Amino acid sequence: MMVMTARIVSWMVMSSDDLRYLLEPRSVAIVGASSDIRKVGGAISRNALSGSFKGRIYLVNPRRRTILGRRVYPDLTSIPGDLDLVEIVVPAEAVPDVMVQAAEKDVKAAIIVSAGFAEVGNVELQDKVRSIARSRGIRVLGPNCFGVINTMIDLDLTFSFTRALKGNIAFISQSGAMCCGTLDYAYSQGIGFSKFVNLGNKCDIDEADVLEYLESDPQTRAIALYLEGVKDGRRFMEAAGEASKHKPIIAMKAGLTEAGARAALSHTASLAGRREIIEAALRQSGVVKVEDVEDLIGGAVALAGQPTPRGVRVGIATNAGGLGVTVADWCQSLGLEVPVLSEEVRRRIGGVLPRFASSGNPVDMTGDAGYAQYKAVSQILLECGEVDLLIAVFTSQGLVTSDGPAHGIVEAASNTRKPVIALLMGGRSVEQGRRILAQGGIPVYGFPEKAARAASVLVQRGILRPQRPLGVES
Amino acid sequence: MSFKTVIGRARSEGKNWLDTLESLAFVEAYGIPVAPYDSASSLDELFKSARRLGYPIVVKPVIPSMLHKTELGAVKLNLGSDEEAAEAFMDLRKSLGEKGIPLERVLVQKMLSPGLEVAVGGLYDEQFAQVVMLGLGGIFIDVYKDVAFRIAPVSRAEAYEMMRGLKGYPIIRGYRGTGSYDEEALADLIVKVSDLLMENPEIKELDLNPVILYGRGLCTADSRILLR
Repeated sequence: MMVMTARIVSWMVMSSDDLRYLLEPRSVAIVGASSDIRKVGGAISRNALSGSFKGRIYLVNPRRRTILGRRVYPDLTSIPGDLDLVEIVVPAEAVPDVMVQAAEKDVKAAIIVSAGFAEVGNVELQDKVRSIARSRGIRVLGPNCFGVINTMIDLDLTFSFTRALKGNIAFISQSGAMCCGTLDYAYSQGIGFSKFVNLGNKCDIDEADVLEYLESDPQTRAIALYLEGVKDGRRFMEAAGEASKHKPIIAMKAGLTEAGARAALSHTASLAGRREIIEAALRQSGVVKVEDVEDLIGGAVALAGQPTPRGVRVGIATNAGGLGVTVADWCQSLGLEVPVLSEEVRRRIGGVLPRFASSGNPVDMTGDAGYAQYKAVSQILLECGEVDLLIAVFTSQGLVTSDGPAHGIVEAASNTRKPVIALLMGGRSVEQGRRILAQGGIPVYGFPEKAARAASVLVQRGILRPQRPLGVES
Repeated sequence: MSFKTVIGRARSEGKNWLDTLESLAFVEAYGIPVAPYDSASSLDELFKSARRLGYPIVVKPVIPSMLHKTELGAVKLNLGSDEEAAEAFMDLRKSLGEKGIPLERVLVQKMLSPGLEVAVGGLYDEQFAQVVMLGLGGIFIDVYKDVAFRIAPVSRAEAYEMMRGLKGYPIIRGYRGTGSYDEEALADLIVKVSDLLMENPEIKELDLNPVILYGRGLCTADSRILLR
């Protein structure tokens, strides 16, 4: 009975909302802080201090008096105030001592950046750290991890070169390198994040814990998961299945093929499951699955920014026939429908396109289509009841600049509960249009395949977690 | 005999598998239809079984289910008389003997009428525990890998989803005037296999293959069970 009670209590302490200490700390200490920004401890100190985080940040390093112009403490216990979170960037062998100090300070969570644990076969040291953490009620992220970012409180505890933009996508990754690459790519695309979490070796906190936290995180509207191995598949399914009822989850799994699985083993010391089983588990948990990183981010943008379609019918409005047909081909190959439009709808489109070039779907508005045509045709397609989702396509043909069409699409989208995504193909000539669309909350893609895949992600979400009919409350 | 006993006995004999007879009895006890069967250890017993079941019959050696009977060339199908049965029995004893496998008993089954061959199975996965598989039998599963997986427990709705997810689903549903097969019976079977796996986490691998699916009903012709 004693044991039972202790287990229940420790579970209650360990679970639920204490990831807030990790992701919304009021005070953080960086152990292993450095003034050399070419070192991990230095880059983390720089990133942590350069935001507008309102809480307290303490730097710890016994060999320094000041770093980046701030006072440095020799150890955790000499820090005067309470500590929610400790980030540890010291050699692996020194980590257990720091954890013991953290426990003395009554720290609630620790990020262990240090490498040299299970990923290189040093399971014993990792187990030691975990047992200190478990017995003292400290939640641990890592070891061997890249850290976390919470843009809501402007706290970056990673060593990334690139700062995360503020956004509503939460990104969870087991791989740290994938985090760096994703952050950098996302920045270049103007894509922002709510929370950014790298799990590393997952000695304690894993995907399921973070999903439970994100489920009720008001800043997060979609969750993107980069998965390698899932240790407790059942627990993952439970957490993902519950979280996906509240917000969309999209995932990419690395290590599905045999060669990939071998790489995952040597890389992160974890098991990679086979494709069929992982796919079944994700589907049964209401998680949309994609095959590559660009689709993971692109799909997350669509899920975070657009409502869920109620069917699989796609309407396409384009100023270039061939491009529209290519989008239609991709849609159909992904299992979406590009339906022929009724006489009535064609007549209405004919009313706004005097030299109506093609009566079908895709609707070819021809090369001189501008603001008015994009707005009117988009509106007709979105209102007609014959499509569930609109892909608006524009490429510069030298007659119209991209701003007008972009404004037209944004305005049409603002009057609908159906999802709208845009394909702007080109480079500099469509930059302005991209910006206008992004500001208007419309996901923009650069190639037909990518736009179709994003549409497919939205449709998959609709199939996995159908929306309730309008007017029916849960 | 309870399943725990069957599994316990296999383990106490140092086996991590159930033999063909044990496997069939096991799945039959879960209400899964299996082809009427009997076992025989002599020609006399074989004739008796054949008369009880009625010709034509199938004769298979009772050997470790980890061995593939078909690959051993050890499945004697469509035997129509005592003479054919006797010849098959002697032939089995000789050919297995040459491979160093003693033939102590054979499984005697009623030869099933033709239908659509499907395979239903299960496995215990390191990450996700019990997993259920459905595939179309024969060439579809071997060559085209036309299979669907779900993590157990599998609901009836999910069982239908598995069927519809197969590339070969139109064959089950019937196309261009071919007959349709009993989807309800197949859904039933999938759910029963899921239940069986959930109640017996000792099972590492389970094969019901082939299962013959008819316009109405289905029947399992063979089964193998490996233990963890």
